Amino acid sequence: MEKLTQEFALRTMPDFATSSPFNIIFEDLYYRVEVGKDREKKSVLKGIKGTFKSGELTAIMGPSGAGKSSLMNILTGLTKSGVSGKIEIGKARKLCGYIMQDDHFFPYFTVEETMLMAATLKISNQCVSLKEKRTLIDYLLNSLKLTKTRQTKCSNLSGGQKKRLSIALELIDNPAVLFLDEPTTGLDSSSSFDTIQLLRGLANEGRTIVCTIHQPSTNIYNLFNLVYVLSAGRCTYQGTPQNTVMFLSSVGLECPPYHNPADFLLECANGDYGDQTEALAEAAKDIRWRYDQQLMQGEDADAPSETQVAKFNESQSPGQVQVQVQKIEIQNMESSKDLTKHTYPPTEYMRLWLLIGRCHLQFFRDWTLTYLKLGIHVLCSILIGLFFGDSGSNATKQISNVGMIMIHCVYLWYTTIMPGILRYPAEIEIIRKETFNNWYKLRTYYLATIITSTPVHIIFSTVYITIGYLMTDQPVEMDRFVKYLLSAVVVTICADGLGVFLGTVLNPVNGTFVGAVSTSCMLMFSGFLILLNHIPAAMRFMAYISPLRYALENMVISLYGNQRGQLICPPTEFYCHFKNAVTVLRQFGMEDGDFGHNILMILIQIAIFKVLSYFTLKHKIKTN
Amino acid sequence: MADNAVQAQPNGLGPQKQKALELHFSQVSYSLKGATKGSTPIINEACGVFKSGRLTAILGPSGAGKSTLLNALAGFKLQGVTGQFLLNGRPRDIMSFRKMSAYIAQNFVMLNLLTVEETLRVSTDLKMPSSTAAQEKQKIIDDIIDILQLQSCRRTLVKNLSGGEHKRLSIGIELVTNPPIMFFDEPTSGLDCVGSYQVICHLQRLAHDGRIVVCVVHQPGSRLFQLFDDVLVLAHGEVLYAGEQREMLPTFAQSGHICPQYYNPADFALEVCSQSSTTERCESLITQNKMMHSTASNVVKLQVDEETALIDVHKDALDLSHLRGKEQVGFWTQLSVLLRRHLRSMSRDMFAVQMRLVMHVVVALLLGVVYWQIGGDAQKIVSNVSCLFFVILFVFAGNAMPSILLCMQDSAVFIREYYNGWYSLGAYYLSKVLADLPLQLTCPTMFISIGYFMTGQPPEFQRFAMCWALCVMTAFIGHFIGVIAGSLFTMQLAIFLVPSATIPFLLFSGFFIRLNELSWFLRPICDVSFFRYIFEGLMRAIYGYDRGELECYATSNFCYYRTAEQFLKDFQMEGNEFDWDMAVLGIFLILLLLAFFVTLNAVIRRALR
Repeated sequence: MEKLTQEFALRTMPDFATSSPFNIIFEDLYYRVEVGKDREKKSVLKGIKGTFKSGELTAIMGPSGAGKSSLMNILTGLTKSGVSGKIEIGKARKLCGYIMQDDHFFPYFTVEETMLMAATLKISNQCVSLKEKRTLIDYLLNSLKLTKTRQTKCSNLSGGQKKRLSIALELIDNPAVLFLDEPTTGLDSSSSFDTIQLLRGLANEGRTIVCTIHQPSTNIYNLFNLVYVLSAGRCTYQGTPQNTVMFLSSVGLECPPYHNPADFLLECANGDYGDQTEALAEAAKDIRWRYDQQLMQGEDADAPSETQVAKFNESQSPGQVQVQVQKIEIQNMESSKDLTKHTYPPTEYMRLWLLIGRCHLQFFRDWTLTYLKLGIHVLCSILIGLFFGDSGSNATKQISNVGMIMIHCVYLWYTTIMPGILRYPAEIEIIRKETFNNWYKLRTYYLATIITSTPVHIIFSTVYITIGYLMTDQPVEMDRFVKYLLSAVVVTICADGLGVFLGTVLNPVNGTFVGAVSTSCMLMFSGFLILLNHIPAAMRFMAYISPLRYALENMVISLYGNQRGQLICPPTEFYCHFKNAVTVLRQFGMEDGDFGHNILMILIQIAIFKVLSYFTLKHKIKTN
Repeated sequence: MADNAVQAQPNGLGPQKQKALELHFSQVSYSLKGATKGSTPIINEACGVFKSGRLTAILGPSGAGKSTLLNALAGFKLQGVTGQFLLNGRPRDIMSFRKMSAYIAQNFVMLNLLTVEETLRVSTDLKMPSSTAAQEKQKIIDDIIDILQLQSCRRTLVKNLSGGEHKRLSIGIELVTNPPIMFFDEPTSGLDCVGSYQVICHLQRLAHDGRIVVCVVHQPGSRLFQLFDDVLVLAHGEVLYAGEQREMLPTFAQSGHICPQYYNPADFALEVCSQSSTTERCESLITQNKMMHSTASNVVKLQVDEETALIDVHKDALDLSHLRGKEQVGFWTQLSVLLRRHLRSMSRDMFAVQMRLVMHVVVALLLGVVYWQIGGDAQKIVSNVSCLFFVILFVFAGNAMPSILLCMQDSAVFIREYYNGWYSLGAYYLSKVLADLPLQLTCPTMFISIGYFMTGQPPEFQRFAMCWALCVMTAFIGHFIGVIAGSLFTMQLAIFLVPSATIPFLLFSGFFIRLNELSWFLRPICDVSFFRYIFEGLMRAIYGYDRGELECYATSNFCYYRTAEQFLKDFQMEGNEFDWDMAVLGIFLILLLLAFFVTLNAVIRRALR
């Protein structure tokens, strides 16, 4: 079984070394940014060049401010403006994966669920069946030592496990190029070594892997194929880890005994032994530092003495053994492969469907919030029903009945707009990672969340309104109830749209304040606190943009319009002013109300809020 | 005599004049309380010595017990800890040891909106005795800034500091009391090699000035490692080596662990730790270290035999709450320092403050235009009641919602400072309440001042004052409901609970239905709904107290509610009982203040669990 798993997994991972190579070549690369109030241009990268080859694990190193992150962002495509020079990255950038420094996952999903969701989003079911995807996932989890954690929730993973899960997620569709930003930050020494060793193995399979790292230990340092050192925006070393000591010696810098060559290299680049940037940058142009020591010995007449070579080899022995072991393992696996199979991503519609499923799962996993909200809705509805009693049919309580309608609107609006403000800020990091790595398009995700949240709002408001409707003895006619309910539902969805918009424009604190204020203003112009015809003419335009006004009017029309019969006048009352339903409509100036027109106005506002929210969310994702 | 003392100590942070300190520990073990018998202890018979003037590093892989050992040595862990701790040859008193030592955690939080100098000033004001002169405090602040090289960012906000500067400032805060013993848990985590080097250089300087400085470090670089004077290597709860840094590699070599030439000694030590602890070579290291330190402890063993019984008795009486540091200044000093800090932080977040003020003014103007001069018109008396209802809803919601998210922005700082004995819970609580007071008073005042006169309410000072008082009371009640909800529940839940709980209470305000029309089992809710008393108070303020007849502008010259008294009677709000309404609201406010105090206690207990 295990052999079969390995054999299959390798079939979905073609050896890129034998097909077209994905080398990354950049030349005369400059990057300038504007600094300070006078917008002075500052050069971050100053005409650097280099080649990152497939089948190699490359480390970008350097002190702070050297330009490591800038170079990484330029190569991944995150940074575009201010860049000049020639960049050549094999084929399309869509074959790249970028693993950021911080790991973000949805906390309620297990490792296996996260992997399966990513697999279905990245690979279409038509070329790889679900069963085959599970086999692939088993292989990846086993390779990255995550098999024991497959049933663990992502929130319970350790730092090293989270890092490996991030790598596993991006390996699902077998990218040719992998970028990692400081993959060992936050990990301990053994986790760091395991992670870099894993990356080395992945590179040996033919991938191009580039990562930034600072201050690696010697055994980790020796695992890299190529070290690319930046200092003050220039390349000060481009070669193998094993050549570091000799490289520095060639410019007169001797590495002390019991000193990590990586540390010494960074100290020289940092100017701790005088400003060596010019000398190092000049010496770094020599291409021979990229090649093994044996080749250099053959070419150079001044070969180092045997004593020096022996000492150097001794310091490399622990890492070297590890590398050899890894290579042997890879060769064994490669010998068992046969034909390859091409994979392609699913259509965007399929991704939409998958994201809807994920959103539903996520929503109901958080049972505390979901069921508690529903319970509170039921409780409040019952309380309000008890409060207003038989106001639906009692002619003496019709003013109160309209007040009840207003309370329903305010309750649904408030309890929907406030959570909406907090929805996207909580998971914006995950969205940013997944959209950047081409898991899906942002509009697909946005549409999925709308499709998921809308039924929830419909269910919640339906439960709430139905209980209140029946408890207060409203007219039991289906068409009235449906119209009444429809008005409540659309105003709830409108509140969600406004809440999401405020949440993506402002920070949560200011968002809640503006939400409370805007709700009060809309309430002022709803037509209940003050009749619309009592408002000065100059201010009446405000009523046209208040969704609460349209909802209130529609709900009143539903109950009292369309030739409703007379209401019941209790025997104890001599005269009932509102016995005729039309009197209520006249009292509130809603005699000429048009139900369809009002619904249309709310729907237009829903559309406006949803579209605006999409663009503000997009803007928020692009900016940090 | 005083002059001589000043001259003897020109530099407050200068080298220690007292005799050198030496912290000796032996046979230190720690096990989890619930662990079954025979399970591997987290720390097993650790021994070593920390000396003044030496910078010590504790090395080891993850799970080796480094932080546990540091916490045991610093005195933060008592339950489950056994062993001897000698300070200059005498058993240490845990309380005085806690007072003379400082512990800086890995994630040291500070308020983002204060400058470096202001942060240090708060530390000096709260941690030094009240008798300290202001000049002396300023000198200490200047010395700390000099020692840690923070001159260039003296006036920089904490949120704009780099990682290294942030670390150095956290050291500076604890340096205020000039502790002779300092413990650091991973002071270089999150920093790059330059920042790490700078921080350790400063720690070395602190140590060489005559202090004991101990750090847990995680994979230090080659040059960084050479800054340390002493090293303690921990693996699987066992100490492999405790002694001079220069002697570590020779000691390892004697046991067969030879470090390659181009290797970082710290990395090599970690590799030795990663090997199985059952190997003979590791065993010899452990045994050798125990023998060396056992010999040293024998010298002072005789002196402490008599006091062993006292230690045991004393230890049983201690628990976590007793470890809280002692406050150094009085209540009113604590209050004034905290109050000043709160107000300064608020003044730096001007966007939020300005937006709230502007919004209150804009909505007040809007209210005035919509309800223009409606207060004196008998025909529109029902609309005026709606206007009063709107005022209540706006003031309450505008204060409750933002407070949910604002309340715990500084909770992490509060917990750390409270636990270190900077101030009492009462002082923090009162400063929190008082600091929000200006905004709580200003916003409703501006709102009601504009809205009251634009809507044509009666221009009598007494009535205006009543309305103002009710608005302020509404703002306070809303604010504390938001603060309490935000403290007790998660953000998502609190943001939903506050509207869903308060809107039903709004029903019982008396605006929607006459109170006598309510079902009998619902009437008690009216008595506990603060909205009822607010609304009732506003109605009485406007229409009570001999308001008399209203002007009737209707064309037919007939107005149903011509007299204010009749109107109040219909709402069952007759009687000049504004004082009663105000008193009940006062009781509500007191109850909310008490609930906030209880909430703070709950937050502390939850954090220290």
